[in-house]
Amino acid sequence: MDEGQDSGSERFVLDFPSAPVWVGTARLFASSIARKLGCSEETIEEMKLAISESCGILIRASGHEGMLRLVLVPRNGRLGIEVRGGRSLPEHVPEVETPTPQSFASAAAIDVLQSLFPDAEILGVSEGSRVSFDVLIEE
Amino acid sequence: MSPIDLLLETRDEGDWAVLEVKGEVDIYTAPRLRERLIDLVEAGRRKVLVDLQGVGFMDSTGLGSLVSGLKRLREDDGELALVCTRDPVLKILTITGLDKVFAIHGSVEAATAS
Repeated sequence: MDEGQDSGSERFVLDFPSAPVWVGTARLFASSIARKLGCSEETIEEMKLAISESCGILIRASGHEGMLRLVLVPRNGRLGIEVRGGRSLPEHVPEVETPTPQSFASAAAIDVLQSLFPDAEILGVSEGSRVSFDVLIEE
Repeated sequence: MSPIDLLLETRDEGDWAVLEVKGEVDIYTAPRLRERLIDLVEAGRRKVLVDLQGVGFMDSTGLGSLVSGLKRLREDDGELALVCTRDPVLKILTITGLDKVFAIHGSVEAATAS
């Protein structure tokens, strides 16, 4: 989802502090839009879970500082979803003998995200990190 | 956002401490679930049943809390079982393979009778 390439399309944006208390609001925002666009309830449940995991990954990476941005872009029968912000994630999570609760949580979050959406991308960007995936809009 | 996002109530059913969970379990609310489970273990409970029938949403941080409780109970030869028939919660248990780690029952009655 490259900004500037979809200047003529609808987009829905939510900026919120990188803090756990706002993750439910992000889920609610995205599910309301997805429902309005015609996504099935099963798709919406998977999307909510993926957004929650994405926010968790970025919040842990940010140390609960700064802002996150959730962007939804409907196009070609699909809904592109992106969460960005926080800090850059390491390209490879270093292996440690005794994982901390945080490293365990991040690994589990990535596993869940990529199980739901195998094409999901987790990338470092100038504003920190970006998690993106897309879901089917069923008319 | 108010604490009503997650409601936790504990009651006794025979040998079991039944922890009824209602609401959404995510990165914000999961620490409260983890603390309540630890409180039950520290109070000497060895059989804990977590009733997830009132949970509309759970992510991997919620699972992390359940795994912490299970690990803590097993250290003391205890057990932690779940009551869950709701698809969104069953789905994440299945994705993560934790459906094979936890004993999952269809009702509190079925769990406490076993």
